[in-house]
Amino acid sequence: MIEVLFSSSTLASALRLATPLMLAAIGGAFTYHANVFNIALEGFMLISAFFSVWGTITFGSPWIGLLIGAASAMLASLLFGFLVLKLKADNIVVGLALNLGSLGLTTWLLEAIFGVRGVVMVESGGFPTIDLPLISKIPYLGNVISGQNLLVYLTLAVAIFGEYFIYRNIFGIRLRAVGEYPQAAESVGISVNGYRLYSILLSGLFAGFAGAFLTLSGASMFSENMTAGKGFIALAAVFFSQGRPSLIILASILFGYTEATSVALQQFGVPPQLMLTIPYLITVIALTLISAFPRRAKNAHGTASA
Amino acid sequence: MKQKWIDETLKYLLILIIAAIIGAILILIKGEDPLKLAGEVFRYALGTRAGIASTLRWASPVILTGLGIAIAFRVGIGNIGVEGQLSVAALVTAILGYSLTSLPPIPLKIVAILGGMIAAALYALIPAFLLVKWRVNEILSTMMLNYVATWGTEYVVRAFFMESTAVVPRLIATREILPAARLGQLMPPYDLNTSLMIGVVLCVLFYLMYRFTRLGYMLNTLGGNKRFARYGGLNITALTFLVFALSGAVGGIGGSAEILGIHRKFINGFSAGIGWDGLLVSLIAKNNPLGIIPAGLFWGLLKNSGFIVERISSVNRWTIYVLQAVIVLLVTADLYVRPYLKRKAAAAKESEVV
Repeated sequence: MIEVLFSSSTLASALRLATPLMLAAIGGAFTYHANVFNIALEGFMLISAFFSVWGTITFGSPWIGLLIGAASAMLASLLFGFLVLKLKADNIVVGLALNLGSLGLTTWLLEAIFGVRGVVMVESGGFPTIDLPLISKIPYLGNVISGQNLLVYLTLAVAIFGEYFIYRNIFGIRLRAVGEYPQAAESVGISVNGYRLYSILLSGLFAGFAGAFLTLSGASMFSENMTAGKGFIALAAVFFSQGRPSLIILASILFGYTEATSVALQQFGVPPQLMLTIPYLITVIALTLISAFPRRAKNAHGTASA
Repeated sequence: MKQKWIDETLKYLLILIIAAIIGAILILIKGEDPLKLAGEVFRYALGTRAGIASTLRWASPVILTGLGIAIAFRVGIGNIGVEGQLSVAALVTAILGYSLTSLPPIPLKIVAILGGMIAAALYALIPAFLLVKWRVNEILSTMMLNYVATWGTEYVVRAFFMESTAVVPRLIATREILPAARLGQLMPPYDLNTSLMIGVVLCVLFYLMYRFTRLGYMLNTLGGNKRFARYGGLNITALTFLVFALSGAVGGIGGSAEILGIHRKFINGFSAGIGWDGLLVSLIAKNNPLGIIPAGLFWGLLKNSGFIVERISSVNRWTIYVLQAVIVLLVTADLYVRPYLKRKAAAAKESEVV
């Protein structure tokens, strides 16, 4: 059992399963810092999952599929932004409705466009897997890191860049100002709603990438409700890491690992359900610790009701 | 007052018409005749015994969960954890429902449901405690605890209460409850059961409570203005605990009733999202206990329509989710459109003055 827990194939699948969580969570990090509660990540992912497959099949290239998927998710996030920012509607209700609508719409489109029920395959395949030249020679680590899908490496790069973008770049600094103290940001001429909208659109973009990864890596297909709650795990990763991309990498890999082991441990009679509670359980514990031992003044995420 | 009523009715009618047009477009593109389909759906859902029973059957759980959520939301507590709370309730109800062999039927049902309510209330008190003690945002904690409960109850069943004769591979189920624990069917042989009455009666009772009692007055004050409530000498901590417990307990009945009335045992995936549906029902009803009844019936009709459409045409039942989403978005949008126009008008006036 220990061998399975630490085998290179379990860790490799943890990294693979972590990738869509990481992408969606980076998107969620932007809205987190702008203080927008974004439960719609799940729906954005699902919309993009469908349209990335449609784009790939129609235009024959997974890159175009990725772009179309991301664009479709951004369009959905624009609707979210309009309702939440312009009309000041409740973000939970709007998010839940968008998730519900995405599920209905993608299922309907699957039948209307492809005339199939349940699943559509991408015959031309998705993104390739890459063997890293030197790293693949390293005994154990090589099997974990090398031979992953191209998007896995791009995602890690994006996450590291995200850390810089949010904490070292003027955009990120303004974004956090908007989230932490909107009145102060407003008083120095930062458009609060503008930055909130940017953050929502970015969350759509990255959740869109996440959806495209789900469909265009490995089996290359779209199936009904294929996100199956991954958007919510990504949201847990956002709150677990307080929107910090470097921590999001760790949290996503940890959550990906629990998912990988929940499958791997079944052969030893360990019910998968116990592992599946772990991401949520440790997020609740983390939220409690963050609130109980605050390091600095908190934005509204750390305080009582939203 | 009368004018406001007409306004509201017209508004909901308009929303329905918009949703119907969108639905018609979706059906047309699939190459089906929307008018014919709509006619048949209504003829079946509202005109046959089986159809009415099915509509009411789907309304029953969301009336209960909708009321549970409204109890929290109307005082500004974001308990979105009813889905998890009702899973806990369902598990406890199922276990009590098959193990208390010595109880006569009526006490058995009452004990099984009460046990579920208490379990759900206790589970709801976890986020309440985290909120009161450390100011942990209850929206986040209840959301996470949903999944902990969904997976956790399945684990507990698998580890300790698994019925060994379960034949379907991925099915996780407890033993079947005693026949005496089953909720009575209102229109046999259909699934519709007395939980509909429980829901309706509770909605009315809560309405009366908010309207006429001291506690109701306190809760309305709390919902109106937290600071005023504190200066007014209300014990906000105690009320917060109470609201969480009530919200979880009432929502929990929704889960217990699904077990005692429909599935007759705890099985994985029994809820089918009634906790989340309840959130949308309470929104349509604007957190008003009396409004929950028509909103829940409407939700049940939509859900049933989805099943009927799927049976009689090539349109997928999930298409109805698009309509549900459109209706919810229009209701929310409407809630905010008028204040938005007002703000805009005020802003225009201000700039004129300058």
